[in-house]
Amino acid sequence: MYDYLIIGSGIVGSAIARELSFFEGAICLVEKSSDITNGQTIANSGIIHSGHDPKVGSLKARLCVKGNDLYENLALKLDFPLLKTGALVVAFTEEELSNLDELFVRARKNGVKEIARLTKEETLKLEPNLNETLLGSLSLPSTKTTVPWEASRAMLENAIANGLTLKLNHEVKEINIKENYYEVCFKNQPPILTKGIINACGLFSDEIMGMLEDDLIQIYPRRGEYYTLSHGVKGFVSKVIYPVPSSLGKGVLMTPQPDGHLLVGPNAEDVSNKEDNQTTIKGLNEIKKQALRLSNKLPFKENIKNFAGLRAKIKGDDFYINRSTKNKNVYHLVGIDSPGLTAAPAIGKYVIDLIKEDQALRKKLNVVETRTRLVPFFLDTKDNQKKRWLEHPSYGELVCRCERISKQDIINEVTGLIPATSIKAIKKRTRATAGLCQGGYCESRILEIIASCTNKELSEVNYYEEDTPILIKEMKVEK
Amino acid sequence: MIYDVCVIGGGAAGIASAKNSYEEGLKIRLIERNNELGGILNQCIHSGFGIHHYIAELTGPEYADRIQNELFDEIEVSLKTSVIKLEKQNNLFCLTLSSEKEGIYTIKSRAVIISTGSYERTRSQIELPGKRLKGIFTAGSAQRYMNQLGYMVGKKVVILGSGDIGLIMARRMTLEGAKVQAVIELMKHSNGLTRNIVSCLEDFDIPLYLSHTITDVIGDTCLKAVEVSKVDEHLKPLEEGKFRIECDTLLLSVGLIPEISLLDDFNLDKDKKTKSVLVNQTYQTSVDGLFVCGNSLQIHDLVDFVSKEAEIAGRSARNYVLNNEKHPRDEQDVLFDEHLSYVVPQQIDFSILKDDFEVSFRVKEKYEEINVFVYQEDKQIKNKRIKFALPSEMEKITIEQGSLSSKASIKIMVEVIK
Repeated sequence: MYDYLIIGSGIVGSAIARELSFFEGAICLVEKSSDITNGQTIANSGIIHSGHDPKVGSLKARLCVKGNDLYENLALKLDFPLLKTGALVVAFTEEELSNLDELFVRARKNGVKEIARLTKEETLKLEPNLNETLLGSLSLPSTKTTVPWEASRAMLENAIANGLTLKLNHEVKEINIKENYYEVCFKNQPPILTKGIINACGLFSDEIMGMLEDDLIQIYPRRGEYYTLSHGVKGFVSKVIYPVPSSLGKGVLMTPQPDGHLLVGPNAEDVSNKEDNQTTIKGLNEIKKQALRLSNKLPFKENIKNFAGLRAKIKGDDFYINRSTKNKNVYHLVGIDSPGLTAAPAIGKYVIDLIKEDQALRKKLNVVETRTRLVPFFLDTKDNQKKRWLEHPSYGELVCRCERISKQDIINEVTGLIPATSIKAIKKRTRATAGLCQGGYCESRILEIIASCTNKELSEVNYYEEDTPILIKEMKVEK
Repeated sequence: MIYDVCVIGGGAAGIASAKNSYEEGLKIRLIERNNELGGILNQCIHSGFGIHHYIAELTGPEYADRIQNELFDEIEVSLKTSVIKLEKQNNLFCLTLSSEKEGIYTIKSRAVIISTGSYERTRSQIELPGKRLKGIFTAGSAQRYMNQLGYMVGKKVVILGSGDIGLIMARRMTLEGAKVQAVIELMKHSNGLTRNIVSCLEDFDIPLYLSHTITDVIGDTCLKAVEVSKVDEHLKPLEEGKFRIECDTLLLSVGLIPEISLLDDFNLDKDKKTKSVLVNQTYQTSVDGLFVCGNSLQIHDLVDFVSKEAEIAGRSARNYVLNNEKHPRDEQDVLFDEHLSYVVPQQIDFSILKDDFEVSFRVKEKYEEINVFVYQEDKQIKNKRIKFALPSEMEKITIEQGSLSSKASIKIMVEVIK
């Protein structure tokens, strides 16, 4: 019997798991996918927003500004990438320029520090590739970018070090409310008993809520598509570039990533299905059109990957983070869309505070608060490279040429704390196959490494989820 | 130890250039990341290689075997070794190598030949919309899975792009029992060799849809169908007449791009069309002692032409090392008219012009018959008639060194007859 079962391994579930792992009690986190962070966390802009956009007084505003404050220290403690870019909100019309004044006031009221209004000349001096038709900008120095799934993984690994049990391939099908505990049933897995439930499963948290509550909050998925431009464009812009926000959201942005890529997107389109994460000709054209308004020099030819992500919108446009009105020790987090990534560390603390109001939590005596990441071999110092290669000669074998990932880097992840056993999981952990050739050379090599480390046939290695093997066993197939 | 020539990449181009750069007393090293030489030839188990070079119809592995056997023992071959950095310090190249056996180390060389081949254009480079599903492969990856690892990738196949690899894979998968439903080509002509259209598609009744493209991929986690649309003359998909083809596999055969990322730090000018660096008739780049050949210079249709190009690059590197050819260059452009999409070499260095040389080019459109003229300062120095010129087939014209009367640029002009 667990004390708490967290549902969802995205950035929000991970942040809560980490905070909760500092306290006494048995906690378990379940994820329906074959790997962690396969939902909203893997497909967003990766921005740690300053907090200029959310409505004054909203939970979003409060947790966004607080979360932003927490990230720098967190990245140091947990050793995940954080790029201190700063951001500019750029105005191109007189109307947008006057909106900047409003944004300035809003940012102030939300508690954003160090904001400044910049003239056209000041803006172009900082970002000479922006269109010269711009009229001015709002500077937000506290904006940063991260790799969301790396931040999430770091938090989870830290929580595991403090005793968290992580279970993948656990899709909740039913929750039976018992006296003083819950029986959570899964697709193809034995049930788990728990005294408390924290529902943090992103797009699907309304469905979990439906299994437990009478009152329902519906999630309306909103899709955003992206371009990923290769590191060849590194330095094209050094800051996150926002247009002036409209009713449809923050608009199409340019976001320099910690790995050197440049994300361009997202558009915003309401869709009916939570699995509708396809890219579309219409959507991509719209992004191009909107982005060229920021800079007509944008080199879309450098595109190495398009993707789309869905955001969990709810009515009222604020986070819903509350205890159940009916069930003891049940907490729901619904509608955690942007700025959810930014807010996540603050959400973790917020949920702990909610729990503390309901029951006493006792801090563990020996808590691990830090976690280190093994630097990819080819990025390490010469001395370390020598040492590491002597210990594991497979470091010397370059597997992914585009992103410089060695064979041992991949072995480490296949056999790691949270084992990555699909091509996509390896991509997320190491960046292998994420470069220019998108795995043209290395995918088959990675497949062989995974198979050999997990004692599987090549045809048993999945591309992504369960039952997505890349290879069919027999060479002759039936007609 | 300082090498005279280091060749990076041990495929057809690397092997031929290493062999031809050798002469007694010279130290040559051939570096290959894989565990065998031969590069992409090893996975091309169909025949059709060597018709020009060996006057024989060989399979890829046979061709690879033959050229390897011709390599001299004196050439040092490093397998399972990657070059992770290439720099030039003073007059020497510094190569940082890495291997399981020796870890990371550096070597120096007077000249370097880049013969690193190419990579396949990916789904994102053609902005193929839809979900990220399992079952979408580049044709070359599928070829490796089948021919080298011995595994099928699917049973019902659609191929986007009618490049040679796609055509070869259409036949290959059919022979292995898969059903190839269609080949979809954006352009109004195929991008493959005519002989491949006939022997890979027509012989197996595989339909080829010209002026069509794929506008969506459908499925949940695995591919289940593709949506095919006709395109207009601007290659824009049309709404009307869309149709679906059920399939579990989509192979992309949408072109190759020279792999020259080792040269990124040199910041060299690139040819917009070939997507590689500019070279002169010795296949030397603007960096003294740095040569590029094979698919890393321009995408070839035939390995025979790769071998020939690489022989010249090898000999040029040898001459460079032996003659210490670091004198000022005297370079002029090779110009061309609107009928051609590119030429290689892009420049002639008159200061070292000792031999006749070949210019490779491709026409932009399909012509039944053309007359190709080479002019220097309004004087016609060469003329070649070509029947059935296709964008998919590389053409060559030899420029006799004696025919150049001055050190001015030359221009290649096309007269369309039919």
